[in-house]
Amino acid sequence: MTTRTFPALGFDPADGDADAVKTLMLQLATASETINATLPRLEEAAKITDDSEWGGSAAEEFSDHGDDLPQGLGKGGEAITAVTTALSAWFGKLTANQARADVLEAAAKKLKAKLSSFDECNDETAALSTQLGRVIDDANRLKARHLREANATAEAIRKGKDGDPFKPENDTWYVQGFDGLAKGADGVSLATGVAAAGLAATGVGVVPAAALEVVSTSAGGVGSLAALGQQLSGSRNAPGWTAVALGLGTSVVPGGGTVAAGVRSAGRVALKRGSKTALRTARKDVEAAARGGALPGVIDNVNKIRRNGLDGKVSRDLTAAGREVAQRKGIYDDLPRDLADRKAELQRLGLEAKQDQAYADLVDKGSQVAEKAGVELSEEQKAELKLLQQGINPTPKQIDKAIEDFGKEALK
Amino acid sequence: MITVDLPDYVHRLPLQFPDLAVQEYATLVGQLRGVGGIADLEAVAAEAVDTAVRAGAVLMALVTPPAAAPAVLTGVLVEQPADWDGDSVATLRDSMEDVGGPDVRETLVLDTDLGPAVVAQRVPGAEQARARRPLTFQLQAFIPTDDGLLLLTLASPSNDGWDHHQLLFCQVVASARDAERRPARVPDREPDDDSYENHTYRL
Repeated sequence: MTTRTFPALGFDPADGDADAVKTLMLQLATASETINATLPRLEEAAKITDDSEWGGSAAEEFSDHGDDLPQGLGKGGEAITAVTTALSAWFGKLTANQARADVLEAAAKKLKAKLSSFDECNDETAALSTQLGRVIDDANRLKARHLREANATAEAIRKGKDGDPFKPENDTWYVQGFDGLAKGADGVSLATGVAAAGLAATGVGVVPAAALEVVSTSAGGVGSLAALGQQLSGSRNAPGWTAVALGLGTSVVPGGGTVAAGVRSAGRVALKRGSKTALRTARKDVEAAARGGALPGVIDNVNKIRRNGLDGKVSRDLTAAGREVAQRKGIYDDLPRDLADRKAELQRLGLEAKQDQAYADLVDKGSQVAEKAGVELSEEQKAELKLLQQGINPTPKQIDKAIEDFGKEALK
Repeated sequence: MITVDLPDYVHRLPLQFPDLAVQEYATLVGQLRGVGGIADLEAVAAEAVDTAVRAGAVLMALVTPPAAAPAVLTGVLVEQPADWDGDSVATLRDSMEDVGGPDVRETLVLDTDLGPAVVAQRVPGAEQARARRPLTFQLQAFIPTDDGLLLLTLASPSNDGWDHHQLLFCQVVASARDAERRPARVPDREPDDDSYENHTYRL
């Protein structure tokens, strides 16, 4: 037997001897194999006496006692198979839980080693202690789960093949119920995420590109919840807060119904009311863009790209875009001879083209959002939008590529 | 009647009056943005409210703490498994960690008067970016009620002041109670003497 020790955690979250289970499984498999080999022979022997091919008192004695043997042996074989299956499932759980326990022990050991390198308490030790607490909490949960699974296996073995807890479909149904809840929560998370992402789209909060910088470091920039559990166990209520009744009894039916339809309808009305203003604003901005005025959104993106050390890429992109514009307009040969001036002029042309392209995309996006919200634009409004897009004369979607590349860089 | 405590910077939207909810959402975001005019916000507001209602939300609120980025709070009532018992919280917690989505980074169990609630923290990673899902930081909680499980979700596109949101959300969850029912006493947890938890490593 292998001795497993957990000095950092202080306890074994997944005790059990995997080798012993494996040995027992092998023994049961051998027994099952022997039964499988013996059973047909025994059945054949019993059949011989029944067919009277073997007569006499010895045959009668054998027949009296031997008829029940194949049936008993068959049942025994079934029981052994059931136990072997239960043990096989348990072996998988045991080894998985023990592997997880090893990971937690290693994490606790590492954290304790880090903690011991400090001479006094500070913010860093507090953070490390919180992490250690979380690891120990995880280990305790593993221990509880391990015990539940062990008990379920023991129950299954006791009840044999007819025992309900052992029926795979039962276990699957039970787990499926909770897994279904978890998957449902993921769906609700997506819906709420869409609603919250709208905040960033309106300029409130942080734009997605900035969020990418955070996600690239995964959970590193976000504090743990672990400490809050203890903090709130004593005092739950914040002073000055108002009690709000949620009224779940009058809740809406998931999946839509009259309320959802009402919302869509309200959206249409709201946007129809605002669409004229939006179009007026859009026209103004397009005119400004056509006159060479900067669009804050585009400039922001370019600044972000620069801030992230992609100056070279931006410069190349802008120059390439400017060259394309110059060639299209037939002014390439008129560009300044001096290389620096020439590059500056090309980049000015490139930036202008990108601004136009970005605005064209913005107009396009605007109509998509309108469609999504169920807004029916009039023919005149559609024509006006189309005209705005054509008037801008978009270049290839290079700004998209630049921003996408920036996103990829941030994710690295 | 399920009741929670909310601070005054949580603005509940009247989902039963959708046009009003859209209008209020747009107005609030307009105030946050600080630029006059909300015409361009109404489409976004309509989409946000519509999305929440389509997901079966019974609660939707805009959370605008002074020291943190704005966030959206939703509440959805989901069916409770028939054999919900004392072990169910642990199983649900495991399920959240196993299949709740790749952004579930941490889970926690909080005591409420209605019973223990499972809280999960979601932090977006490369998976969300690849799947082009919204990159939002989230907290979710399953609170047991007589009508089913109330799933609260708080989402923000920024981690600015996220610690504030964490405390706010956990306080809201912990304050959940049935106003018409006498609060069930939460049994004291017996300390595990052999657990390392009770011999916390200290400097």
